[in-house]
Amino acid sequence: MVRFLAYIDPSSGSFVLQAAVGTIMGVSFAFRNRMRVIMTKLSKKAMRAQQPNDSE
Amino acid sequence: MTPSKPLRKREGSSFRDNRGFVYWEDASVYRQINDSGRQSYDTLMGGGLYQELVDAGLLIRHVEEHERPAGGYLTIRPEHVAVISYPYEWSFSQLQDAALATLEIQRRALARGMTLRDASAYNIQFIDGRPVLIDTLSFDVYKPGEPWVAYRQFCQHFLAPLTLMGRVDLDLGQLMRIYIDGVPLPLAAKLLRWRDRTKFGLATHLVMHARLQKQHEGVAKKPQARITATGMAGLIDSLERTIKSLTAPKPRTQWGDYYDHTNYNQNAFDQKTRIVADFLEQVKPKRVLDLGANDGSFSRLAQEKGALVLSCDVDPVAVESNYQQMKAAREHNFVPLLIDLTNPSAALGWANDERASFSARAKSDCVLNLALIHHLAIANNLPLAMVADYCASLGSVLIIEFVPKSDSQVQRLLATREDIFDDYTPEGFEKAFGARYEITAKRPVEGSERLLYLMTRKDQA
Repeated sequence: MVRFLAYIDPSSGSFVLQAAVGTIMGVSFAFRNRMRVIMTKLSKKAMRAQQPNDSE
Repeated sequence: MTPSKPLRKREGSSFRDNRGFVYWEDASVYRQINDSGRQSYDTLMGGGLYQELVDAGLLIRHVEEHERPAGGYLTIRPEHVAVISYPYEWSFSQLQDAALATLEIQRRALARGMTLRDASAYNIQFIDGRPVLIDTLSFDVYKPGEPWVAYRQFCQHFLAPLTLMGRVDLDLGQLMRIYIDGVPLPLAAKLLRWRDRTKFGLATHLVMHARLQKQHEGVAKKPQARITATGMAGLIDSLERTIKSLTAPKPRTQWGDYYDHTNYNQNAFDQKTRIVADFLEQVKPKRVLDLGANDGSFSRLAQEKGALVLSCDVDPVAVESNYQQMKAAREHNFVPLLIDLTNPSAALGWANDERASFSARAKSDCVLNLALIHHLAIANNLPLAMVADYCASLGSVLIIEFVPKSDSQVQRLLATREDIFDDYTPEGFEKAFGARYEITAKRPVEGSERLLYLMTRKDQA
């Protein structure tokens, strides 16, 4: 009977879970993306600083 | 006399989606799109997602037919898929790559205002060595705030079996044979070790998911659950990182390092390779079925000669190694498959018609049966005549190696059991196979006592 009921509405639990953890995962995802962008910018700056100046 | 109408047969697995269905006509596959699927299909095509996915090798290419079908909106003809395989026939990495391809498709779909409405592993097939989505009607227009309807299916079809294979035992991938709609999450969570249950991705997508599923089963009301676009992107990202964190265990299996422990010396192995290559050159097969392929060494011989090869083995470690080699060399026309020849995949699903049996899908021009006969006849007590019958049902040409009782591999099999195999001799072998085949060539492998045969089925000889 339980399996039968689960078949009628198998995704309710999945929807509730997505709503519950989606925000946390979204914030974490956005934070990591932001950090990645910052790190890329910083490493590019550092690379540019290390390059010898052609005009010298 | 009026010309007869072409025979049209609906694909056995195509009945769940009211927006269209797949059918066969004149050995070609078509997909009818009903009026209810019109909006999604037009958005897929018009919004650029179709072209993007096809260009990335993630979605099957199709052409639109000109005639409007009766009772439908459109008919499309997808590219032919030469080998249909199922998740319980894939190695760990094949299933993992199929999972990652599904997530990549969902990510690209979301970026173009669409979403995958199902995430079935059966919708993915390996074409030219890469996982490709073959269900063009899997897409829906994304409504902001709506949860991913295919999330549960993704976890059941991909995450649960991969976790059990990676963290518990590789053989648990075979649960997909029993559970045709994926491994139930409560079962997967129960089988998981405690230390794995605490890992964030598995704790969320498997353990908590299973608990919430149980809590909500029987609730006849759709919950008011919403998820932001960033939340959805985070969910897909989290699933991807969880899938990537899983790795295939590397146990020492019976066949995983077979070629390191055979009684072949290099000279005999090279000679066997030359004879098999010569036989293949004579036959020039378009499609080869290699039974007991191990890591695919002889399958590659056939592939190099231009054949499409189904490279099968019973050992998940050998199939994994075969797939990794295929990926590294970017080989096309090559499909490694996990098949137990003594119990090949049966026809499954509704009316036994949803998933075709291995025997129905594997038919080829040429069957390779190398260093395998002793395992079938002695380790599994299969009469030689029955092995000949089955090989003959799979292909009209057979390249087979006879391993005599004096061979150390056979001696090992006989060491702990009574030798009841009186007809297991070259003469008995030739008599049994001679009933189904004409023996075209017979060559000894020098440096061993083994014999290689090229045979042609009697109805083709």
